[in-house]
Amino acid sequence: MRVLLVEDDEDLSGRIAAVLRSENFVVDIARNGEDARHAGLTELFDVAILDLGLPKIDGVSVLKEWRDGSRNLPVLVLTARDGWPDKVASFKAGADDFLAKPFKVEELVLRLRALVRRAAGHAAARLTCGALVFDAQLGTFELDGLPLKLTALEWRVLSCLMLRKEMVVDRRELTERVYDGDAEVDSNSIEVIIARLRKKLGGDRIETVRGRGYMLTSAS
Amino acid sequence: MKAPALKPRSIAGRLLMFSGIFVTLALVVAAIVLWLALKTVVREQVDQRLDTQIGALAGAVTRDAQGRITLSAPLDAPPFDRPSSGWYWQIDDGQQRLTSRSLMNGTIDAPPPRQDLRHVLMGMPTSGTGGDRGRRPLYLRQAIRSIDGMTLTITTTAPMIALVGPALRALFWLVPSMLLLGLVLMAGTLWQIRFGLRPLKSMAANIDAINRGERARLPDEATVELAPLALKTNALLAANEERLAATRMQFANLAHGLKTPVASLLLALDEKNDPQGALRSLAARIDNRIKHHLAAARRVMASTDNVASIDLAASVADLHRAISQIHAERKIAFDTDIAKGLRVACDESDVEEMLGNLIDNAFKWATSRVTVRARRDGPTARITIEDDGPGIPPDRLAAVVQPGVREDENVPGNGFGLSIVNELAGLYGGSLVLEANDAAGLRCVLCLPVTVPASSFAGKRPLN
Repeated sequence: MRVLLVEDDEDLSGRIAAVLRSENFVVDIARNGEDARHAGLTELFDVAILDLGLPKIDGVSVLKEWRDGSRNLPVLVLTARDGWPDKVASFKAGADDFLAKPFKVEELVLRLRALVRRAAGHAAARLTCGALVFDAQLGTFELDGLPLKLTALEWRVLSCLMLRKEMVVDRRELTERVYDGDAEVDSNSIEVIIARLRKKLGGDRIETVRGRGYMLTSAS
Repeated sequence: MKAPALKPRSIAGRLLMFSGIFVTLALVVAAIVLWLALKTVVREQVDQRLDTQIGALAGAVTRDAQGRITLSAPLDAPPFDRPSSGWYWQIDDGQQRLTSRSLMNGTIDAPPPRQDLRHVLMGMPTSGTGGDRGRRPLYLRQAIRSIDGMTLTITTTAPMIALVGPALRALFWLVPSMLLLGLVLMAGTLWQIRFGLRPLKSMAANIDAINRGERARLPDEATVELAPLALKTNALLAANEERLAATRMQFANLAHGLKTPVASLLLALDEKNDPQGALRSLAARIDNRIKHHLAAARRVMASTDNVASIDLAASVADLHRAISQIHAERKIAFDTDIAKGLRVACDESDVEEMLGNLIDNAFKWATSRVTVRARRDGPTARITIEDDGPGIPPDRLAAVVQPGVREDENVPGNGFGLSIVNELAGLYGGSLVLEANDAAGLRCVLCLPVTVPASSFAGKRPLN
């Protein structure tokens, strides 16, 4: 899961990013409204965390520009302005959730996961695909009722496939959602991760669709 | 030193006082001038009459064979024939006298005539005063003529009352008519002042309307003298609003500036570097302090800003959009029953703050359903927000809306919002009451002043 974190306070954004990375998120940070607008309009993110008081362009304007550019990624507004007028303005501009500073980091993570899950069209918190169960709220996988141990990269790939189970996920898109914007990506590495996942899941749960990408199926 | 009590406080009073003084002075002067003119006319008429008699006497007087002065024709025409009438004549040559019948052989007690050469040559009579043997004051005309070698002093008199009487009688109608004129003038002044000050009154009414929140600005002033005042008042209002907006912005920035480091601090503290949680609770207290003082600042700023009219249905719809997304996981049904076109005279952000807190609270506690109703109840809008959650024990219902009661408590979703709503509602003259819902849960009743169309206020409220 790739998240765009828009926060001008360096200390806070660093801490949030560290927590999110430990929760297997891929985090890109934008420190002002202009960078945020550009990143949101040109790159793929599963979710964005948006501060309202930003240098250059304020958060609500950034959000409006994303929506005007038909970018419908879920957006969580994270701001110190916790009055209801600010909340109403944020949601009017197209926000999906709102969290006031200071906040509990667990709540931020839960809300981000819920946003990603709902954006993928899943109403329930637990997704099942055959014997594989994904608790989208806690971010844990179970296989045949037993917890599944995954590396960060494996978790990212599998959660991405799980949220769009029974659908083909483009390989390039998968790469974008799994690696940081500035990470050196070897075109084969996704294949390596897929191979490792197939070993852990067993059978042919992850199908390769030639020339397009991968698909998670419930067939065992 | 001037006595302050004599200075009228109102412009109308000043205008009335000065025009009263001027009208009185003008009328007194006019009355005196008129009276003097009248007296002169009366005297001139009497003069003419007496002088005619002098001329007739001078023409008729001769010396008879015995050398005595005599009249060639009787000249005792009325009023000179009436005894003691005061209308007398007398011809005197030094030794003998010829008198009118009215004198009844008496003589006129007159000083010697003060005639100089000019009067003698021109035959002009002079005026004087005298009496008929001291009984009655007389006005007299005297002339010295030389006839048949005699030097005769001819005196004719009129009673003084003939001069003074008509002038006095004139006063009887002059004074009342002057008083009437004065009254009419003052009434005119009064009407003129009322008419002249009407734009000022309507301006005061408009300022009052601004105070009540029915108007944002004074209307364009058609009265030339008041136009700059209206313009400056509007500029002042705009400056005030700007300052208020800037202050609000500053407070928002202050909140942002303080809360972001607090958020960082809370993130930085964990089980390892704060095992007892003392530092985290300290940071939470800082956060609560910030919230508390921001709410206080908000309260102060809200008190100057009630120039608004907010549509409740639209406001609730906006809030519902936000709250339903915040509580998207809860799947709470939301019903509204809001009277169409119901508007409250409160600032938009304050309405959002109050309803947002209450509806959000209801969503937090509700099991399955939140209902918002609003209807007009006389001068107030009665808004009820109901949830079907666990509710609040009856003995704590009053306590949770008290301001500042739970600023140090750290129970999520409890207390802070309600006290803010309570204080904001109080500022607008409204109220917040919590009661147990009929079936289950909590019912919050928020009363706010409704916006009343300006026209229905006309003349009903005193201007203050």
